[in-house]
Amino acid sequence: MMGRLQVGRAGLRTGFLARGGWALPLGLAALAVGILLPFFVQPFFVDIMTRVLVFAILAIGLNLLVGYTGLPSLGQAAFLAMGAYTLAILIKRLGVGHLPAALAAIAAAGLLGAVFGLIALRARGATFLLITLALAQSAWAIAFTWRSVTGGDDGIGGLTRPVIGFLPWSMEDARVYYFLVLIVFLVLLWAFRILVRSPFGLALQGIRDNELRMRSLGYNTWLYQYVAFIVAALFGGVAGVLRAYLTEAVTPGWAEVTPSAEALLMVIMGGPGTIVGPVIGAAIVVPAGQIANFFTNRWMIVLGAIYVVVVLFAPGGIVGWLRRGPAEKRA
Amino acid sequence: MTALAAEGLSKRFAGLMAVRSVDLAIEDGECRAIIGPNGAGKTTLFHLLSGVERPSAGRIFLCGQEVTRDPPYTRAHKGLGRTFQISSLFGKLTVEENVLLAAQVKGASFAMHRAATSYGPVMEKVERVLEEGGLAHKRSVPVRFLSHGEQRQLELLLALAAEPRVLLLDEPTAGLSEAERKSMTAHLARIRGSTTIVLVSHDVDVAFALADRVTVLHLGEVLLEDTVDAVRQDPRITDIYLGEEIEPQRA
Repeated sequence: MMGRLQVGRAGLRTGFLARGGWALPLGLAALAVGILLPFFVQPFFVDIMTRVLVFAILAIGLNLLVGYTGLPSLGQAAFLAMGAYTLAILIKRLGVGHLPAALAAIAAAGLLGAVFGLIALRARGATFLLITLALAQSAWAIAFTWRSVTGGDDGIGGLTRPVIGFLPWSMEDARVYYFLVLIVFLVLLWAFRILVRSPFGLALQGIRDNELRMRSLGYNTWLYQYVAFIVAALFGGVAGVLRAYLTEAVTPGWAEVTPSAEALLMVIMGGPGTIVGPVIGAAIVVPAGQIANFFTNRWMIVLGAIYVVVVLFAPGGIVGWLRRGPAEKRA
Repeated sequence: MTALAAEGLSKRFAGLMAVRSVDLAIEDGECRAIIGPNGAGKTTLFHLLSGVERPSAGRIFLCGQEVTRDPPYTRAHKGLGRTFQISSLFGKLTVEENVLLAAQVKGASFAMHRAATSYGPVMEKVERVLEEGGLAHKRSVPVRFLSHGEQRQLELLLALAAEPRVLLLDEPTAGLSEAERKSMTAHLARIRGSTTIVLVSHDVDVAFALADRVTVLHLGEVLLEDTVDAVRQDPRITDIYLGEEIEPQRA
């Protein structure tokens, strides 16, 4: 049955999500599951849920580039690794406290974004994608070879989660840490929602749709893209800090192409240019990766196959597919 | 005061001289039509004036300031607006969001902390532009669902929403039906005088109806610059452009 015709921000919507205010109930239901589920599953699964949230933060940042600015990047994991390594080095090697170390780690990821952005934004499209991939591989090479600082292929281990004095619970408890990450995730999701609806966010969408016209209207499009690149890197830095505390270690593999490709798939699968799309993508790709590891060590091939299927059958991702009407789905 | 001026403006593409030593001086409040047959260099001249292309030689002045090396966005901030021959809009966004993008550029375009639609003066400007342009009832429609005529109208509204001092209009009536053409011409006539307009058009009826003066380009050079009546009566125009072939098509 056709849904009620609704004209809105995302177009003429006739799909399930457009039939009137489903987004809020669905969001609240997902939040309820997110809050209650950890009490009914083993800590191993709670850690997977935490991992979903960490990667969702990484993918939300990437979505600002891919979905809102039209800049597909394969280097997002470099910022995650930068955040994680900076945190681990400051705490383990230099004895810095957790809070300043975490803030410095996020700032370092933003700084790396500022440097990478200067190089990558000299190009657009596929060339931009390849430059981000090359830059991320450079970050991996530095992490792998600079053994005296990064620990080489061993990485840095022995990180412990912070003790928050006024809380009666230990962060070493998987559930407690999960809820800390959930709070950070919700705050960032809310901030992201404000950002993409702001004049800056609208300008990014204008650049995605028609960069030449934006320049003619008076927008320094390069500057907007550059700031978006840095904001995406900051999200990556937050994800890196949270992941480092989750695993209590960091290794060079975090800067490899695989987590970058996973983040890109989360965005594309969930729905680029939508607020919750990357979260849905992370909720699918992270557990899928865990399950695939039981059966195959060729996760990248599985990843590639999923990518092809999504691009062919749901180019707007899951959220885009749900927003489309039945006739559009058949087309 | 001269609103827009060009001195010895030239543009070479490999072996082709698309624009050759063009001099222009367009007065504040004037409506100048630039006409010429296909290949005369009209669109290239527009690209040079708006900053999309860099000139091979010559200088450009906007309200007395040299802008030859300025990128398009800097020229826009200095008061230059333009439309495109083929509608250049933001297809995934709504009509209102399209106009908002143009209206917010001189205000809060870098703000990140509140909704774009929460800026009162900007939204008032959007509302006014949509009402005057006759697209208020389509405000929530994504641009890709508009008819060609509505897209041409929105193309103009985007330029107007940025409140330019000098407006470059590239074929504003291209592809319009007779009724849409009349409506567009009437709209342009309303804004004429309040904004300096430079109009490129194949539609000489529209150009002559609106212009104070006309510049005729031929093979990249200025063949003639004069009043509408003088240009209309110049036999060279008939030779290069307004010949026998044109009249039967209009009939």
